[in-house]
Amino acid sequence: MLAFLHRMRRRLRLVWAWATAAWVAPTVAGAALAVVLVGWVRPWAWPERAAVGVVAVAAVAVAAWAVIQRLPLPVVARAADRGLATADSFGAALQFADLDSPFGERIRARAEHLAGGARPEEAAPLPPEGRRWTIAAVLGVAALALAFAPNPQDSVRAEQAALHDLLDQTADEIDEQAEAAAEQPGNEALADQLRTLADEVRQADSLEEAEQALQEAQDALDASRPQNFASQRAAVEGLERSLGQRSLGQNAPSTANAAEQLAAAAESLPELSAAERAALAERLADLAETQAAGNPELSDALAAAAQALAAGNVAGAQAALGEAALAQGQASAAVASQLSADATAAQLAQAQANLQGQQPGQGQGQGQGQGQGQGQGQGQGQGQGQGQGQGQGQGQGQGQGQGQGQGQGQGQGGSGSGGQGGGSGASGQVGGASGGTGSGQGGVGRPGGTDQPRNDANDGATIVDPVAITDGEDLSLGGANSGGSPGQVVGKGDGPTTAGPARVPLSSVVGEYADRATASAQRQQLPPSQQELVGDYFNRLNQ
Amino acid sequence: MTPEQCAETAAAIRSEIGKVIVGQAALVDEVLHCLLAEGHILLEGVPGLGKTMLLKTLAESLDMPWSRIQFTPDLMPADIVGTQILHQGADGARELQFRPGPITANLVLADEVNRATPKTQAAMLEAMQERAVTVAGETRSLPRPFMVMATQNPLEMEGTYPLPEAQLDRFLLKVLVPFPSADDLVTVIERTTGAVTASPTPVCDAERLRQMIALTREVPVPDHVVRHAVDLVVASHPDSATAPEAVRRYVRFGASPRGVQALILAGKARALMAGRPSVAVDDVRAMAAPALRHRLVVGYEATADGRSPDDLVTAVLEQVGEPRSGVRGAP
Repeated sequence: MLAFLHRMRRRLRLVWAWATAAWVAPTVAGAALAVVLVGWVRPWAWPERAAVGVVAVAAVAVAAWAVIQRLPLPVVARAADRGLATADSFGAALQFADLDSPFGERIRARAEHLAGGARPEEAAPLPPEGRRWTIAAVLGVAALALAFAPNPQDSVRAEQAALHDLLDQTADEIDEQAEAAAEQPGNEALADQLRTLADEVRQADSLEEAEQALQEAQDALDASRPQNFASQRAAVEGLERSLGQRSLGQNAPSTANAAEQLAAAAESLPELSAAERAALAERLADLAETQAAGNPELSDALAAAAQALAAGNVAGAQAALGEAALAQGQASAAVASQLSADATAAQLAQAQANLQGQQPGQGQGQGQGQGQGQGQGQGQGQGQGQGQGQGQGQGQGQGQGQGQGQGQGQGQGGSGSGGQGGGSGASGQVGGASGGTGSGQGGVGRPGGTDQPRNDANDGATIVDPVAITDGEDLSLGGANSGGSPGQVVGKGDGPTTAGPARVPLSSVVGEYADRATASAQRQQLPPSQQELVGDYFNRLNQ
Repeated sequence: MTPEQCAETAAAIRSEIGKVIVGQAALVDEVLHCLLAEGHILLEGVPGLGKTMLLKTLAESLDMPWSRIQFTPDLMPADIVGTQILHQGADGARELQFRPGPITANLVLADEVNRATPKTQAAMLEAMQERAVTVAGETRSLPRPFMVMATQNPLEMEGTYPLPEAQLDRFLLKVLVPFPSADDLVTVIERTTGAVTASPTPVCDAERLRQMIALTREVPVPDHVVRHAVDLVVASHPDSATAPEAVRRYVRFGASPRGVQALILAGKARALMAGRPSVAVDDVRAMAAPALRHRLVVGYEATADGRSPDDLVTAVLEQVGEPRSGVRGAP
């Protein structure tokens, strides 16, 4: 009998699971249908998966509870007695298993007899529950049909998925930048800042939020940029280049960097002859002058070393050269760190541009463009001038659809005596949904170069004191309204474009001007004194 | 005696009764249940349905003393329990001797018990409860087994004295005698209008019946069966939380604890007669109507609305329901 009751217990678990499933099936199917319907009105990505999850959770819960629920033998016996109409024989046999009387024996014998020919399937057949299953089937089929039918929200979901992929990709790139920055000494803070930025981008809910995070990071990097970085960089790199071309002495090989050469020169001072010391003093004095604007500490140390050498104070010169080596090393490290930050900022700007380029357009929006132009002009005639201009413009655009604006401008420099470069550019950097065009105007390179014969182009340049020109006031570079080349528009239409005055405060562009001037001067293989002249010019501007 | 022998004897009694009583199988079985439980039974039915014949045939099937009392309004208690008479012996000495009344028998047929006065009814009902009579300050036990089989006619109410509820409670079962079916009635006519009338043969004596009664009380009752009997009785009370609406509306007082005893005892007899060694829920539910119908004190609303006690018992059975396993989808 016990064996039969154990089989009966398993059968009851199945019956319970079947009946419970039938009981909850309409509700579960209805819930799944409701969730799928939500996916038709909202662009969420989870409704279909949630519907499957609801059904799966319900099925697993029913099955699990069917297995773990407790079914005592008296309950099982009661079900068997009722199912087989055995007049409580199994229940009585369980209760009176130890009854020592003629009735006890007969109760047990009767139960054993009844259990011998009994089948659990007969005692507990599966309840039909046809109506419930029919309702559940109808609801389930409807949910499946809606899940697999073309959904108007699918395109929106795809766009959202693409957006998240883009944000993840951007965040990964920022992480890579962070790792690269972390490998450089002194950039730990920058690496941490980038990692935080990557997390913010990855967790951004919208493209605008990610762009804002990138913009804030760029602004922070820009704010940390020293005002005199251009001159500092020019000084450091100029000293490196100068000492690379001509070392400080035999004990200071040109292959070593400037700091090492200064340190080596300090070590070798006692071994030098008086003439060599005098020559070295003169060289150090020249170098001191070149560093005065970009690295005053180094300049002072070099000047002190020169004076000490000229005075025959070898020990003092050694000490001063040591300080000079230390100052040069610190300046080099600072420049390298800032260059890394600049590179990072550029990459962030690129990432932001990528995000903006990927932004889907919809409806009507407003865009703001920023154009940057660069022009080169060549003078004709006897001389040749070179000028650089940079302009910044703002444009507004309106459009519909997806748009991407891009502009490129090119200007022609003026001819004649003044190398005048004018650049105009238009680039519509489109925010929002509309494509737009922007117009920018190149700034006039002032002052222009003098009209000199070609073979004298690199000699005899005259530097005009900008402070004297402006009487100490901030110098603004006025550009001609020569922009207006339309941006390349991908979208349904161009937006109206307005040309701005594009008068840019000098203080906001002088750093970049200085960098470009320094780079240009270095490319021209100018003598250090000329390079210093250019550096001085921009240092004055910066002041 | 074994349970099988008991069942065989009961079947033999049923067979002997069947020689005389046509059909009425359920009625006969309920009478036998009452016999095995040593309880008193009250048969109610219109005249001519064979109530008295049934009890008389049962008595004749049992080889034991039995008596019949025809209740009338002038019947006195002494006519039932017996009295002391002045007896003069051969030597001329006189003494009071007790002469037992008809109640002093194993089987007593109280015909039309509601026609006697309450005083006489009380005397007999006291004997039914105590299974003893007290005459002249002396209590005398009645022979065992002792069973009163009473009848009453529900139609001729004029000049009758309906039994009080407290006295009705002393009957283990109250059985309604139905009108026989047409086929049974044909057989009745054939048997009773011919030249030869069937008569039962005694198949059981007092000693054997005592053994059967003792064995009946030994039949085990599972706990859930007892619990179900209690639930039925509790649900018959209008102030019970499990009482059906009909009970709340029509019943003034529910069944007494004797109702549970009656359910269990009758259920034991039913199981034993069916050859089963234990009482089942079905036994209790089958005996609910005869065991509870006379124990419900119904209000005038029930009479006004035509609701009989049997309707109320049915409502109780539906309300309580047969205990299930409690497993969803399973019986």
